[in-house]
Amino acid sequence: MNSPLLEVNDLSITFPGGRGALPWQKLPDVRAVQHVNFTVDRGETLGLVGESGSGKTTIGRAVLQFIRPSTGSIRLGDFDTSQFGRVIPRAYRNAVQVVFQDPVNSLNPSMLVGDIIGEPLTIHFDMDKKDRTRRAGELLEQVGLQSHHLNRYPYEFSGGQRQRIAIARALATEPDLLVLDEPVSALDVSTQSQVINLLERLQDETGAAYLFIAHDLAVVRHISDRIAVMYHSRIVETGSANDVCERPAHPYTELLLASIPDPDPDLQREKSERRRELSKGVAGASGRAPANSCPFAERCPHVMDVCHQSFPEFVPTQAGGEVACHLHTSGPKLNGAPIASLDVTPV
Amino acid sequence: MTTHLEPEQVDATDAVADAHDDSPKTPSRFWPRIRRNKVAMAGLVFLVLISLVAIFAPFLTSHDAIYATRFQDILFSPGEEGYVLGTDHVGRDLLTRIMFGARYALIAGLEAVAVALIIGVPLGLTIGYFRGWVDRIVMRVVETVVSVPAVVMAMAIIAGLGPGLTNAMLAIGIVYSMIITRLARAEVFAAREELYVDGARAAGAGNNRIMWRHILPNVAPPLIVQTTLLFAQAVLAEAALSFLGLGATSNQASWGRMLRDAQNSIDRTIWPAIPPGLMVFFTIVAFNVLGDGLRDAFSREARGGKVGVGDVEAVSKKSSTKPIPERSLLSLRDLSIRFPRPGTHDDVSVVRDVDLDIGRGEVLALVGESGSGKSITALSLMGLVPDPGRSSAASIVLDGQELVNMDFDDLRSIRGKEIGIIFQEPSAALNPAYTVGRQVAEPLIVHLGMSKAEARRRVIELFREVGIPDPEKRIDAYPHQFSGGMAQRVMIAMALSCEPKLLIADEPTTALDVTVQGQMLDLIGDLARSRGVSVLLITHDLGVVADLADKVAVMYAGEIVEQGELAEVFNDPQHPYTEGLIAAIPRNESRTGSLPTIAGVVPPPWEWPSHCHFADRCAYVTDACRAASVEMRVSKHSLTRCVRADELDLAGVKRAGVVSIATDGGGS
Repeated sequence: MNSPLLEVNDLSITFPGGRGALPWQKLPDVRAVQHVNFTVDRGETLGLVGESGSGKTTIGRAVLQFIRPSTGSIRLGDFDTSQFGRVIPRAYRNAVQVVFQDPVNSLNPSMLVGDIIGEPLTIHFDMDKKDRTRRAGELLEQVGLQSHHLNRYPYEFSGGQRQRIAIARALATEPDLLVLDEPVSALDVSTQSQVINLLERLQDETGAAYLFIAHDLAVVRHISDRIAVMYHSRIVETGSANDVCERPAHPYTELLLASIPDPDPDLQREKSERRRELSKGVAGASGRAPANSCPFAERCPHVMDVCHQSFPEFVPTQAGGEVACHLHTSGPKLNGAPIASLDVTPV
Repeated sequence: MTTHLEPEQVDATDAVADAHDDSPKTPSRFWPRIRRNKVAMAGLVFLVLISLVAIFAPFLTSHDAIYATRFQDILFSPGEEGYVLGTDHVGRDLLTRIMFGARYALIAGLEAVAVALIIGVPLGLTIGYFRGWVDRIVMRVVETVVSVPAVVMAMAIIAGLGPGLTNAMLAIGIVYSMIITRLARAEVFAAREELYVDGARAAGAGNNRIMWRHILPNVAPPLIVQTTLLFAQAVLAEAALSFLGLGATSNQASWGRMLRDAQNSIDRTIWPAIPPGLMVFFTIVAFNVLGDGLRDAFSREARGGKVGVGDVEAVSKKSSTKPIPERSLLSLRDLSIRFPRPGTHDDVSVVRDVDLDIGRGEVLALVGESGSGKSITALSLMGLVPDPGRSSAASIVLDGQELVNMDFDDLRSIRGKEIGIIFQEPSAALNPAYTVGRQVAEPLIVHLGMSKAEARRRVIELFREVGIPDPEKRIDAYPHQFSGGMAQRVMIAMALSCEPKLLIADEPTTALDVTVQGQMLDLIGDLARSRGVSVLLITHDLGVVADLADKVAVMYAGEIVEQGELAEVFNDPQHPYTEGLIAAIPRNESRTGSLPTIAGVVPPPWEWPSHCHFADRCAYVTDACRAASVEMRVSKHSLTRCVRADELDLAGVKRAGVVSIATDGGGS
């Protein structure tokens, strides 16, 4: 069997808390990511879903080596990132590229599109000007723009077009892995589906793997092979995209799914009923991520005493994924069955 | 549910409308702006003239700048025998000395500024980019140097280096380099956090490349402005130091030296001091106005418009203008909004002939992509169309009162009391400097005349009603202490404080997490039902619409294209754009093939055709669509702006999978 392209093992990232209002006050450290494990195979798309503050962007930045993990390891192909010194090897930069959410700020406003896309070509392949222009033009055409757009500035393009330029730049190094950090959430609905379709086509053409980070489970489902759901610094459920979205095993995943409004008014009436039943407490991860309990405990409609005492072990779900929830090992003992099979009506 | 798509649709999504090709380019930012600034241009012209004079000084005069050429009757005789400005106390021609003095002034300025930039820019870039202990040490030195006046500092340095113009300007340059360092560092500090820097880093760019290629061009504008102003200061410093005898020597014709020499004859006449004094004055003014002009031209923000002055103009009712229904709370007729097109004098309509009716206690959703004009339509109701924009309407009736042609003060009080508004970004809509309690209490005190204590009690009640826990304590908290969802609850409390009849919710949940969004939709829905408030909901998310709305109006490119009851429009749309929006929304369902989409993008307002605005992106377009402008017409349960509505059978939410979509890029 082939080993996965990206292997993240027991990754934790802690940010120092900084100073308080008074010079001698020290704020406690922020646990942004705790004990996260996941893999991404070659040519595969893993969707990483979570609300703001869940740590999903931090994981993306760690994979890009913008920040170093506090503990744990990140392996990509033959690279073990814990062996890296102060300077990240160029070959690693080659292998991992990124597209950000914000199509306005992620392109240097004072550079021509041709220079933006040409830069990685110069750095990694040492191309001369003629080759660079030719290749940058090809890349632009690959993402659905025209090569004469090379002599334009980013501000001359719409949001969706700018996102295409960012994708063209990311593809320039022929990467093995693309980190896509909310690449469509700033776009209009119709542009959003255009960009998702483009990303899928490019994956077929280039064979790159995607780490697709987003908060919208419906969007993630459409592009991902597998999904990992994060809540407040922890991954709580993983599985194939269809299983996670149709047979969720974690109460948080269930709440997320019930919260996505559907345009069908009849269906949405049912969904909003369900949403009201499942909502408990004040929504949104707040305060500090707990170190030794389930972070969802305070909002969970099925909460038990044990949830406040330890973070649950991962158990395999019936559908073939993994879930970290005490409901599966104690209390009703779901043993990996979908959360919907719980016959207790939530309080 | 399974989505079916035909294979040829897969590529449809990749053709991007090249919206900008045929249109004149967005006006390039810098040169036109600075050229329009007459004062800055005057400064620039003056400086160019001075430079030309300095360069060609030997060819412009027959006199000598250093040696006396007149030996009798030597002082003060302007206009005599070729001595246009007269001579000084030893008989040297003042005009010649002024011309050569320009050389010293400019060379001195260049020298000081060059030294300042050569030291300051790399130093500021480096310490701003890497920070750390080097930054802390350098900044302490910088703070020490700039706390002493530049000329005094320069005198101290000259004491070490010895006098002379070159040394003097070197000293000034070193002092100014501290100012440049500090400015560059502060700018780099902000720029290094920009996403494009992360993008360059991911592309493999090293630190040097990021600093010089990516950050420097983006921090250059403030540095250029500062450099221009320092040039002026350097000219002044040169004059001051030369006047004190620390700069130009007696055989260098600098303006400062001329002022010093003028002292020798000050008991007889003040004249020899006036030309060099004026030259120093005008040169500095010229640099300063040029610097200010550059700063204005560099700043990318459009000039801030006045808010609330562009009031609704009245237009006469057309024969086609529909009557206003009995039960309506708010009715708009023929609302249009025009803006001057950027870079031209033409007006373009961004909203055209919008009719809307919201019944009492009803939720009307206004949906469309960005650029459709939905937000500006709502803002116009509040009188918040930004300044160059002009709105006009035949009629705006709120609760039986005609607002068009109403006295401005009455209008303002009606808007404050009867209409509440919540925005997309709750944290941006709250003032960070005041407690939330004070901000929510303000309209109560202003519009309802409550006392402070009454208002406070009312705010606590409101906070409880919108689900803010522990309202007695939270009332004294500041906006930054609230999460996004809680801040939006504060905004809702504020919007409801004066018990408005209409609540405008402009993308109220777009910036919130999805589980928070659910709670917010429940809250808005419950409040609307329990209080009988009508809601104008503006959103691009059809799921949010389905959750909250009773009626829906779909906007495209400044026009309402379909309007009707929610369930009827979503189940059986009568306009292809509505069908496209419904198909494109990603739903929680598995699919094969590509996501359906609407090809192309909303074109900019100046490219909207006179015929059907959607024709270029529409899969069902025929010649009839491009024949004439399309008016609203009844088709089954809806009003639609589609000429083919009767013959088309469009897919709604129940069978969104079988949509056929445009296969060309549209646009052109």
